[in-house]
Amino acid sequence: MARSTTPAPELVLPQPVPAHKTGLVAWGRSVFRGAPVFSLCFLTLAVACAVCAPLLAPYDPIQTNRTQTLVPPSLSAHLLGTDHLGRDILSRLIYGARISVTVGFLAVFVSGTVGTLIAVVSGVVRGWADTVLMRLTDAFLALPFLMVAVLVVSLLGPSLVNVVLVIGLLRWMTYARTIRSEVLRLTEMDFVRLARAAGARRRRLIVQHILPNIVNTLLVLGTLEVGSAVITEASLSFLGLGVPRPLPSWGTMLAEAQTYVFTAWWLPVFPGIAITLLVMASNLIGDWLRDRLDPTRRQL
Amino acid sequence: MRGYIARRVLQGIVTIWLVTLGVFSVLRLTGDPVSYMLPPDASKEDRARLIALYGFNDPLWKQYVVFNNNLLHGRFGPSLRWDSRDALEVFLSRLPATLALTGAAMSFSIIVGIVLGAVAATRPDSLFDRVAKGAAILGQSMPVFWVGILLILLFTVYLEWLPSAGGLDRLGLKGLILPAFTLGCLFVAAHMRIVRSSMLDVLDADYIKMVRAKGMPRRTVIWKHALKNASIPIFTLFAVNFAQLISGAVVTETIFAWPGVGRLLVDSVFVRDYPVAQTVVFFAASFIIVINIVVDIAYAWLDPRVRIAG
Amino acid sequence: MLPDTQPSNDALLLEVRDLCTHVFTRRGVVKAVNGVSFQVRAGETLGLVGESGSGKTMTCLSILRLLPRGARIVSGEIWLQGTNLVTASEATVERVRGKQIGMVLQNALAALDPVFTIGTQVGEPLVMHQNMSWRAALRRVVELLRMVKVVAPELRLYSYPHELSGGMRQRVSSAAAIGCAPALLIADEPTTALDVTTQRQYLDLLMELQQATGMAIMFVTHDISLVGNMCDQLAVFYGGLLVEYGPRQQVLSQPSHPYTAALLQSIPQLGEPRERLPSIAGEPPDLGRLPAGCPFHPRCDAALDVCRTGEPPPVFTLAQGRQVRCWLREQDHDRSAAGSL
Repeated sequence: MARSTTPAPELVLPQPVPAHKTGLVAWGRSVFRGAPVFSLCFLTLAVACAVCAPLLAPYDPIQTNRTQTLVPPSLSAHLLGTDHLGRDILSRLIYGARISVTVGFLAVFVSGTVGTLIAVVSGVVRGWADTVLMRLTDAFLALPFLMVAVLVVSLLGPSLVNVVLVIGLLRWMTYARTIRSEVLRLTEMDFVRLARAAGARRRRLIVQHILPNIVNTLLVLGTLEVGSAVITEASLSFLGLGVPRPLPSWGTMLAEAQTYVFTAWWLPVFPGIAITLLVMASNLIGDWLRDRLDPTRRQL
Repeated sequence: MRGYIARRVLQGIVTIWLVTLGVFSVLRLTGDPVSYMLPPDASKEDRARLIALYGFNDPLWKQYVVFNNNLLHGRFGPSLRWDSRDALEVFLSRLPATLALTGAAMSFSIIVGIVLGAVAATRPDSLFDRVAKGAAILGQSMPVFWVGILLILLFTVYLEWLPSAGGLDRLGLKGLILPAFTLGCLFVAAHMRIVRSSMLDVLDADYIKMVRAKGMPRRTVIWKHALKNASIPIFTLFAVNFAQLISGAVVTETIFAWPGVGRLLVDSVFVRDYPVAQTVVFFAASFIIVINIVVDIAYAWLDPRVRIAG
Repeated sequence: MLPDTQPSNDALLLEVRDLCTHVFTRRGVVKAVNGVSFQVRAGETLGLVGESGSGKTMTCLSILRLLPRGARIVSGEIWLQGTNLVTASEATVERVRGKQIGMVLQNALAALDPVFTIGTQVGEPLVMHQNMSWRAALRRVVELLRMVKVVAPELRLYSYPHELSGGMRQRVSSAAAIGCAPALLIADEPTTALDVTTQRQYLDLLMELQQATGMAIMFVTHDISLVGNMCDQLAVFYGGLLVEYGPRQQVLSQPSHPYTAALLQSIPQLGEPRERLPSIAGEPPDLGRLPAGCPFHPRCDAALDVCRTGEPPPVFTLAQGRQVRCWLREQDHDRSAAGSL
């Protein structure tokens, strides 16, 4: 019979780390491992445009110019051309970023808050509150989203605030469902039970134990939803029900481009590229965050 | 199986009721409905007539009872714009166009999505697969109306192959191609991704190994066994996508001047024809709920294990 | 060294020569099967014994070319009645699977397609290989189900896998595997997922089937106590190598490899007084990072210096057709008998 004659394993002490591997570079490398670089750069660019629009835009986006209508893109004057009223496309794009980014982030903030609220109540209180809230979620999920948005915005009147509210209040369901299952899972875990056994009251439980653990999920969902909010705002503006003219939303630019699609190809192309890139950036960053924060989760 | 169906239908009815509640409140609680429905220069008599017609001065609960009563009897109110034709009638006259469009778009995206996804799954990490995955991400990021405009730019302006505005009556099937393709593009990407992912999981499973061990040729393994198993998660996504489909139809119909209910909604909202708008939203929501129920039942039929868990 | 063509020996059904199957992962190459050779004769039962990860399952999958993604047969030959399965086309191998070689997998629920009925799944190979109509095939399925002792087979035709018990599923899997009367049945740990009583019933069933059809069986297991009366020949696997091979009785009574000996010693015997269950010290090798020399040397009491370096020991042929890969047996190597295997 083979007796235990293998020698005890040697103690392997950690090697001292060479100096250049510590510090800011190493930290940066570990946090941003595998990040979609282009998406992050574009998102930063979009936010920069939103914040510093007056500084970046070469022309006034609203100023009409009857002599310069429908000028094709050229390196000399208007980089991306002008529209049917002589307004510079590039400047309008930059100012449009302001609207898309604002609506995107604010709408996500609203729906995230509402969704989390509902999810936490549902998951912690349970009982009939849970049933009612879940049926409500099902009802909202069954709504033809854009149609309802169209209806409600027309009733309330087109404005930035209304658009944010409508998008925010019609998209909370994804958050509610996902976070609710997270909350349910968490409340079954031992550390919550221990806290309860120690006499912790509900509010303390929620704030101290549950919320910190759902931040990750919220972050991932929020990032992914920014793209959807941007597209919805663009759709509403496209239909004429978003932010009022003459504010240069990318969607409005596309709507105006429709009449001139036969003569001026640059009118529809550039705003569309902007929207697509912003949505793609939000999707890719969201996917990366999801992989990074929860590597066990499968990716579609 | 029957118990499952009954339960699902009951849930659906409750949800529809909640939707009607929402539709009811949306008009009456967001400001003055009368001002909304009438142009600003309407006379006092017109206002009085409208109030009498809809009972806006009655207490809310009474309005709700009347509302439900009307709903159950199929009375959706007269359209304020279309010469007082019944809102329901207006809606129904435009419905076939939308059904044609969404049906064509969905079929197109399902078939192409399944084929592309299955092929990509059988050649993981190949050039085809990587291009497909990239195209999928792009496809899901492009707004529907932009796709439509670009296609018009290409096919109507430059190539002059296909018409860009009209409907089935005037243009026949040729007019359906561009709008259906535009709407379908949105979903091809999503369907392809989920079919690919689902197939990859299935192809790794033991029972596929067993089927191959019995000597079944590759095509049987993939298209009979793998696909049927992989199609189960596909169905849940189809259901979720239906709401998106209808949203997409609104925009697509606007671009291509398609005479369907999506455009009807936008038009009626602009002319403040509230009864028609309300009707469209109500039916759209109900349709989505029904589709969800049908898909759940089909899911239970496809995957025998679900019937017991139900 | 070895002849290129198969020697004409009528009873010889399957011959595996120097099979090497490697798995290519992101972290490196895993040598799952590292030079395995053995034979299976018509009608005999070969037991493949070893721990998880020792290469026995990968060997079986290599025979039918059912390797998972990233795994590939790197070298070697697998001769089945004149055809080398390693180099044969996919179409040829598809004709062999199910028809000449049948396979039963370990986890019976996972091995049956959940969305098709039993009748469809057992009947499929019949329709495919024997060109039967579905009606005729289903009749034959009923016979097969009866042969594997499934109760009320006519009703079971329309059942789904999740409606059956574990033991029944295993039997249905076997019915599907033997449907076309293959000459060889590979049973990969068929009893691992079953409880002890069902295990016994299933093994008895296998024996009966073998009696009735005269097929050969390759029986893979990690539990050496199961091979008891079943197997004619025994092949012991370790670290991707075949470390001992020979007639069952002799291997069990006089093991010539230290690992086999240790395995046998670790089987608890009912009735014997014992304070502690004996086990083999150490852990099975990581096939991605095999030690130099013999893979067993870290756990071997009698390891020599030569065992720890260089290549693993070559195959030494002993008397009575036994083979072993151990330097300790070098002097017993019967050179005249070598080379005929």
